[in-house]
Amino acid sequence: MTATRPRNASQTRADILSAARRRFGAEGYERTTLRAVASDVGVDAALVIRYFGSKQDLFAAAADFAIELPDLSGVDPDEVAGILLPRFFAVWEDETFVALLRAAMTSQVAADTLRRVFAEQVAPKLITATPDNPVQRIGLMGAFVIGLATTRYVLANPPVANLSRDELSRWAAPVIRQLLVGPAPD
Amino acid sequence: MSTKRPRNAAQTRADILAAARQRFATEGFERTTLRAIAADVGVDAALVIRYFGSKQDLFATATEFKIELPDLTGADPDDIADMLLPRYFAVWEDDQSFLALLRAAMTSRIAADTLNETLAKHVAPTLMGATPDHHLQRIALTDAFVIGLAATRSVLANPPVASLSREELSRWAGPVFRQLLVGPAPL
Repeated sequence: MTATRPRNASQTRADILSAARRRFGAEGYERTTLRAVASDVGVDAALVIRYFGSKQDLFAAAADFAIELPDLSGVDPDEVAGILLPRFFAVWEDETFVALLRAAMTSQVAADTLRRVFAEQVAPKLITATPDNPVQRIGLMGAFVIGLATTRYVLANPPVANLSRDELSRWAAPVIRQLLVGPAPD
Repeated sequence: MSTKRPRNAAQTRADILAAARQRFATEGFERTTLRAIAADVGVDAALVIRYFGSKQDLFATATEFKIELPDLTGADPDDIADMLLPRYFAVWEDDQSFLALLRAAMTSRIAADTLNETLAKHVAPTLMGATPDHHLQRIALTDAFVIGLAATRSVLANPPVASLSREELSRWAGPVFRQLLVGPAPL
């Protein structure tokens, strides 16, 4: 059963992306090499380049993830957090996001990618919920979400890592509500 | 001006710590070597070991940050953010040790444990003066918010948060500190 067999191109692409996420997540953007990613998969670096282009292109492909957020216009402020949190858990528990988060702390390229994902996919949906100061509200909300994801999935700080999803949601909901729709400071 | 002169031990120690923070922050704990740090400073690795001990010892010294938090016992909940945030700003923005630790913690279990333990040892006892119940959860969630703000402002430099003045940030963050530390616990 261990006989090697020719792999098809789409399986190889998927294997390369998954190796790239591991490398970028563990070693950061700068130190990851196409050669190392290729060797993890047992292919030649030239093949990685043929499929994905430069290291930056590979990173963009590996870190590309879709966040599906609903339109929040007209949603009851008390329900916004309850709608968002399950989507956030889905993102946090996706290895692509965690790889991007780890890499973003040590690489400008990765930090730019993270900001772009946030600006293009998250902010436009959140803006429909904010009554005023959308830029500040959404930026601070992003900071809270990054802090929770870092603490729970990267640092694994026990009091937060050990909360069930449901418990964490109940603690986080009033904060999300406050940041997105609560009273603005004077 | 470029003549070499003998450096004194205190200056050399400070140079080694600065180089170590730089290396640990950009390369992480595992990949950083004492030899590379020594070379950055122009000394021998044996000197680094003589001054600081093992790589883990050096890491602990280089990323040890001081945070002086006020006693929160009996503080008005509305004042807590204003009492804490200036101390946090001092750690994130005026001291390279914390950011080096945070960056290293993103890719190293040892560094992450160091950060978790530092928060438990130096931050939690003070915040416990304010929390009415669920102390560990409230404090760790507050730490998470602080880490998110520090990362967004000082590492990711996301403009909407990075460009807020300290005072504006404090006013937005106030209700969040209040909610997490002393607000109603979830049922």
